[in-house]
Amino acid sequence: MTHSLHRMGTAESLRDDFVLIARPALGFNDKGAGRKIGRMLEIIFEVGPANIGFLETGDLLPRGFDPAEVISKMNDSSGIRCSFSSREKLKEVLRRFKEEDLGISVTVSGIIDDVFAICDEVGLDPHSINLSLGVHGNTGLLPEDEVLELTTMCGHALVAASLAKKGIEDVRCGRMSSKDAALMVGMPCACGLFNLDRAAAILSSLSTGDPSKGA
Amino acid sequence: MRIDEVSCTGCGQCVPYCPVGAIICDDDVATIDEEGCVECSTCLRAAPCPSGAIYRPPAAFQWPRSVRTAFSDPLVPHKETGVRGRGTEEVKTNDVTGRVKRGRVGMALEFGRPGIGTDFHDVEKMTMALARIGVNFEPNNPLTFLMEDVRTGKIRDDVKGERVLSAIIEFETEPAKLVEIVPAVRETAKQIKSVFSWCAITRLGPGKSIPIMDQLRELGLEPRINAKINVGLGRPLAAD
Repeated sequence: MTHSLHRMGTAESLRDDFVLIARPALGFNDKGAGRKIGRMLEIIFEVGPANIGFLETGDLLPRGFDPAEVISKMNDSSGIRCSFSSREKLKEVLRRFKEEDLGISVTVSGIIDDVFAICDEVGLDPHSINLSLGVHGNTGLLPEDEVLELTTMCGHALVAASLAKKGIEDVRCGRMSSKDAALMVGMPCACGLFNLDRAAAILSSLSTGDPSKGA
Repeated sequence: MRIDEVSCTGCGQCVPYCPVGAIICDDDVATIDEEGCVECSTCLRAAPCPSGAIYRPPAAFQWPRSVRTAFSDPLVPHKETGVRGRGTEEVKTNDVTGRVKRGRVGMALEFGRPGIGTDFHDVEKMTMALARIGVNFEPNNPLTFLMEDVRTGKIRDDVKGERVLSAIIEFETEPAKLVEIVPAVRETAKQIKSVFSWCAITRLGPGKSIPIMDQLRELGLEPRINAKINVGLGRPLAAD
């Protein structure tokens, strides 16, 4: 599970943070899906995601890849996992997906009201919702909120709290720019859901003490 | 995962990359606590090791240790489900699969998230509590494959001690059962050594209404402002 519904932060911090996942339903509409996923990727690459990763091939935006080569590797069980830091870019992608009518399922994670509004603007009729009911159990083990804002952006818990803390400290001490620290902290996220733009904004706000952008 | 002592320069750059803090650097060499290591391969893939000292030994793929990789490394698909990650397609393809239909509710409890990890002793406490209520565990979820008996929720003894980044309990039920499920989950949560992230899946109603919202609030749960929404582009649409 990409955990994208559990991304932590204030409304302000989450406002420009969207996750888009597209995948065929195995055993239902996966026959021939590889070509459709390829077409969807062409659209996403044209619009420009904040991050994108491919668990199937190991390709990841911060490491650089040839889009055409990645598209050629897609098969009938491939999926798309990416993040956007622009409402307008997400809307454009959804508009073009609707236009192409490829029949591949798409989920968008974000602030509920914002995602619903985008769906209205594009003319989409949302089908189902996965609500986050929070974290339970031995919550005393959890790190600080500012760390969780960063680590919960990884779709598979691969961004360590210790790495997020290192990034925060490196920016605070002037050892690294917030952009470089975001790249360092986000590099373990293999699925591309780690929003590099949002991470840089969080790291920058933590170094300047701007509470409106942090947890 | 292992670190080759001879190649390791003891620079310590790998230490902060481990999601579960299993890498220690002492006396100019880094080592991995094998009991704590969940075999996610993050150190191998992302840590800037200057000497290439990190490796995954063949033993990592032997049962029951192989369970750690299956549940922790998203680059490795589950043998049983073919899906990468720890869950199933769940809401992602619900418009086509109809897995959670109108008038039903799906739930998932991701043990170990965010960022703490879990073993299956903890998970079993919850699966057995839920089984007593009579939920339908998702048959395609990799955790369900580890159950000795889905009617009791008991997990196989040979995997219980394996540590993983997370494991997801997924089930589907009728909303009327939430009045039993929510208190049972809350009560069992008091016995859990780790943490879990909890979610609920529902079909949307007319005007994008969320049918179970009021019920969840009455039971003391306040859903967060952000969620994962299937926007209804999948075809063919499943019957409700």
